[in-house]
Amino acid sequence: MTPRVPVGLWALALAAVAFLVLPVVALLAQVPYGELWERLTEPELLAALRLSLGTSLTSTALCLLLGVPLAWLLARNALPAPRLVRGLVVLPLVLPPVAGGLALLLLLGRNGLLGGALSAFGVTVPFTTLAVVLAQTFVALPFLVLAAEGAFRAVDQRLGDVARTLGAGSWTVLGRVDVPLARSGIAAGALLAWARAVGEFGATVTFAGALPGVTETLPVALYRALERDLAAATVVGLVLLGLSLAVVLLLRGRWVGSL
Amino acid sequence: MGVVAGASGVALASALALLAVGGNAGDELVVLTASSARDGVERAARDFERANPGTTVTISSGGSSALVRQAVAGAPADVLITADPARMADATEAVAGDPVVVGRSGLQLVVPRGNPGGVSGLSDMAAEDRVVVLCTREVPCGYAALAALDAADVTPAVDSYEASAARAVLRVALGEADATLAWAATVGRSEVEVVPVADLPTTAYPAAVLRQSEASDLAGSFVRYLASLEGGRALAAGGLDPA
Repeated sequence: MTPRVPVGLWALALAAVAFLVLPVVALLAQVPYGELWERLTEPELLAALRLSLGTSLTSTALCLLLGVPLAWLLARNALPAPRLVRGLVVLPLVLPPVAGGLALLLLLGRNGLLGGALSAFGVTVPFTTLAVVLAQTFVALPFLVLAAEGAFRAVDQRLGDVARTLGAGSWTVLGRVDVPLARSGIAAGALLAWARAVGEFGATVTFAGALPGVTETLPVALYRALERDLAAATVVGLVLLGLSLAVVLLLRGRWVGSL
Repeated sequence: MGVVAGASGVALASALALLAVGGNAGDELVVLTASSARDGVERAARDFERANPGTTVTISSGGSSALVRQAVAGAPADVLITADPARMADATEAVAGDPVVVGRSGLQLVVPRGNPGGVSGLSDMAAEDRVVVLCTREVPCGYAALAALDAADVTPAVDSYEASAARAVLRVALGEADATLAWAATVGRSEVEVVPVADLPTTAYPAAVLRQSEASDLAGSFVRYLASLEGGRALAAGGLDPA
């Protein structure tokens, strides 16, 4: 039997749920449903959706490529100063994205620390779709590293040790033993990283700028739509809400459900 | 539980204390200004504070359309200054009394120091190999720029649409963009160069007291100050032309 819960606790919990749900209700209430289809199929919105999906999937792949090895080395205590490394990796998670975008611009911009050398080779990063991917990867990578590290730590290290006695090298242990066993945790991390990448705004506008079809992702399109047409902005919001809902449903199946 | 309640109590109390500081105490003015006029309005505000001891003027700047949206949504502000009369007209329901034009500014072709892109006129903004940014068409410097380019029969190869004139000029000042079109008032305080172009449009900056102002008398005298000779001098020092 559940213990009797004091009314005050109920009230605070209810307030928390209402606080999180009511804004979404208000957004849904403003969506112009009568002309929804025409608005959903507007070329600019479709371009933003295509760009958002393409860039966020690319940056999630980049997060997996770069984040899984790092998470594994952290989980196996194979890096010097692991606490420092972990702290540095988590930093973009708490850093305001606008500051992250400025930092990327000062690194990779035409007059940036590395960007100066790049532009000598004719490579300009800001204002390109690549810049969007980099901004998203910058903010999303910490999610993947943290989730994957936790998943690797939950894998019995002795399995890898046994594999080593049978002649397996580190790449084989990682690829054939640890990654398959940690896959659901890594997948959850990838999903969170993807969600963060889809929602990225501050670093994107600061570093990549805003041009429809090239750098104007859904959140950037929503911000611009706000300047002219509230209804258009709510439609973009609805699309983003749909993507978020997909993430929640996928996480429920894979992650929350297993808790 | 005790620790949680204690900690959240402290957090809530400090948040409320912060909010209380933010509240308007009658001798405080909040001014929403188009980003291009910020420098001049800032100077005028400091002069106004000196002339009215005990008064503080806080300035919030951005693209005119965003400011109008905030004003209409009831933002706790006292004065609105936009970068053209059309945007001010959009804010009519939030404005008390008639807006007064307090300054003017012309559109300028802005390039980084040393003009690395070799930009010599509007037609160079059509070149794909140059990085060109414009204000987004939702703000005055954006639609004025697009109209000017259209009149010159130039189709610009735009790399990014920025949310305000100040943002567009910043891209140029950082050397990330080779050229932009922005109001002269924005350009004045930046480390950039201007390429002379004939027949670019100008804009007027209307200022008005907001309906929601709880210090409308003080707000009214600030607007009158902006429109006065003295206020005009402060605005001019910030790059605005006289009304």
